[in-house]
Amino acid sequence: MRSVVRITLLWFSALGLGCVERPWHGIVRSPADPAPSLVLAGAADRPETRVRLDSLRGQVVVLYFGYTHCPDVCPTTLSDWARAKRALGADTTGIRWIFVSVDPTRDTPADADAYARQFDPAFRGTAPTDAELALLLADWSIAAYPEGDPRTPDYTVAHPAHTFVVDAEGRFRLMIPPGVRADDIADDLRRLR
Amino acid sequence: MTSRTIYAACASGLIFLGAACGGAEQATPEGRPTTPTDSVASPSAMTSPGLTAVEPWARPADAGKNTAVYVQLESALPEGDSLTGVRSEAAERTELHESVMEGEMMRMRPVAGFALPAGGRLELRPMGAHVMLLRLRDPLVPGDTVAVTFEFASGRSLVVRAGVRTP
Repeated sequence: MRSVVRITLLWFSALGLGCVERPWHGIVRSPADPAPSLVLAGAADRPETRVRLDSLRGQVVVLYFGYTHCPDVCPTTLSDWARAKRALGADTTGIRWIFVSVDPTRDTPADADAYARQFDPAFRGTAPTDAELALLLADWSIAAYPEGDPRTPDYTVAHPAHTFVVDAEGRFRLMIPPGVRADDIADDLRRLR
Repeated sequence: MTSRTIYAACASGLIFLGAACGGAEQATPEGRPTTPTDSVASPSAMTSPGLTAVEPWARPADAGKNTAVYVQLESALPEGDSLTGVRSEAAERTELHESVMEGEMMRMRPVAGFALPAGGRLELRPMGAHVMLLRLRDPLVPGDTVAVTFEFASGRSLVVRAGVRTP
């Protein structure tokens, strides 16, 4: 009798295992629609600051919209990216890490690129023109706006909290909230790559 | 608890005793033993009588940019106090700020003060309450230290030397 119970239990657990999914650490977007357009001209003399998201098909793209005068949240996020990248080990091909400034008043594409590279040499940054910013905010359904007096040098910028992840098929798959551990970010990216 | 935390706690306890015995208004440790895990080029704790700053650190940043200083302030005082001001020569302006997430947005707001409960702790940490250094006069690079004076409603003050490092 006991063995019958045991076999029945095993059978049920095997059945259960078939349905088991490993949860993601980021917020899964469902349906995973194609990512909105992101086309930024960058600086004419700095081709590495030019971004065309649809040309990055085949790679996982990790995106953050912040600003270089951000003292706390942006550097915390990019430090978490850097630790996640290290957790992925030596082979991080197939993943692009892009920091987009939403503060074109203060940030040039070169400023944003230099800022991103401080955290890891593989990170890239750029800044939009005012017109590109308006377009990208609309396309991505996100907001960013200065707070305080933007005529002074000390205004802050409200910006999206999450890291956005676009998969290799160009679908906007995940939003990673601030505070997700670097190992967990790495785990999500490993699955998408 | 990491060995570093234990070290910091022990060190701050010893330093606190020294400061209390000496009766100094502000005390800075004379020197500091090094341990293999200790890579910060600054004292990891500083005290004023009854107040201890544990593991202060600042993020690297370029000149002209902004950065944040983090620390745990611990009170051994019988009465509560409030952190109401911060000063630093390292930046054009120094303010108390708090990062807040509103919906899907991150914002930062200036704060007039943060409470330090009697015998309690005030934690300035990434993505939360922090000291904001605005328009750095010089770049801060890992290994540097940056001095910040914390001023309290009671009139107490505490000079903290934060090591610059990446987290």
